[in-house]
Amino acid sequence: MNLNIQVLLTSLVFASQIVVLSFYAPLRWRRYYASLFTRFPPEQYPRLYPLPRNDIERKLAIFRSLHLVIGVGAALTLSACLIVGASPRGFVSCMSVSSLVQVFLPLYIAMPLSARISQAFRAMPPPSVRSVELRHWQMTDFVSPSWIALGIAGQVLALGCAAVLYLYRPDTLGILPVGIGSAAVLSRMLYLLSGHAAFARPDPYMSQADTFRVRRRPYRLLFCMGAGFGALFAFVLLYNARLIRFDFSYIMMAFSVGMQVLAVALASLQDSDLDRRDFSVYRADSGAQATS
Amino acid sequence: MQISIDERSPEPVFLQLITQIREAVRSGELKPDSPLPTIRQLAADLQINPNTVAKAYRLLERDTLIETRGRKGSFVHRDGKKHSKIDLGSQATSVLAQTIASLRATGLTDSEIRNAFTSVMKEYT
Repeated sequence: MNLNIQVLLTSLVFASQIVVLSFYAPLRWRRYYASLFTRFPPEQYPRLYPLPRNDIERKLAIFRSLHLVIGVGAALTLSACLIVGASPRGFVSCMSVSSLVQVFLPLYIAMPLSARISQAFRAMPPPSVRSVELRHWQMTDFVSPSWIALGIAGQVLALGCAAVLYLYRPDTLGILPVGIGSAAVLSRMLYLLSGHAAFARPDPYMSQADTFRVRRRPYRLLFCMGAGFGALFAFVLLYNARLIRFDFSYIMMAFSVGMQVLAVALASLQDSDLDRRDFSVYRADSGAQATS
Repeated sequence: MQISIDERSPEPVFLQLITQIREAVRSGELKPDSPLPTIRQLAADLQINPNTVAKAYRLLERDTLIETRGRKGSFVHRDGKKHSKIDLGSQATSVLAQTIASLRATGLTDSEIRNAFTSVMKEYT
């Protein structure tokens, strides 16, 4: 009975993962671009589009097909698991692999496009009159001290677990990737906190408030996810070392739900940008005083 | 405080930065010991060459308006407000004006003064 409930729960989470990550979030993403083109057409807002509209639309069409293929593939995997009556562990393994493909493959393929957009923005001539706030930005301006502490604590926990297990149980699975990953994230956090990092401008025209918001986003994500992933990876290592006993499928279900919530939150954040962001600075006839 | 640059202005960008920071220190808008953005940060925000910001900071440091505390970065000097009233650029202009007036009085033409000035500048650079 317990097994059935577990299978049922896993398949429900797996199904919602397929719907959210491969259909719902990409749909919101496409709708965002569609409303962006409608509300702020490239003819009137040329500075908002460093790449030609056709180019962006072609890429969006490719992503639409990509998400569809991945989504259908994941749905077939789920169906196969149900048909062959896979064990809860088998279900969870398929769900985990599927979540990685659903999230990271489109992100990986989108990287050249993101790089091209950033490059094109950098190549655009900045307005001749530019204004900034003369202040020394610190990480605490973007992320609250409690989240900074939690983020560092999460990564220290993961790194500490990896180090201790390396000394006492070196055959534990996942020590090296967790150790390297946590060390890299922790180094990045400490470098940002040192005050020597320069915060880049997203584009030459963005208003002061929007620049602040856009700059704040990745740092918040870094520390919040640093805390969550640090705790998760520490748990996974302890589980792999058999120091704690827990049904691993629940961890992976929580991970999947977390990814889905994050995807929906990011999509909502992007949508809210349409109303909150000051797009007048991108108009062809704007006064073009960039601020940051 | 807000700092602006205008690339269409005939005044060089580093001078625009110096003028505005000096004025902010003089008016008390920038308090003593308050930290300034790093060279890289200000250059990134204003989308100008970091060397331009470095030059402005160097000249402000020479005038004791700001100070660099090693890796901690640049700060407004404790006596910055007092020193902000001393304008070394204006002093140099005034000394040069007096020198030019006395040279003209000796009968030298403007082009002779200009040539002499250029050769002296070349010698000292």
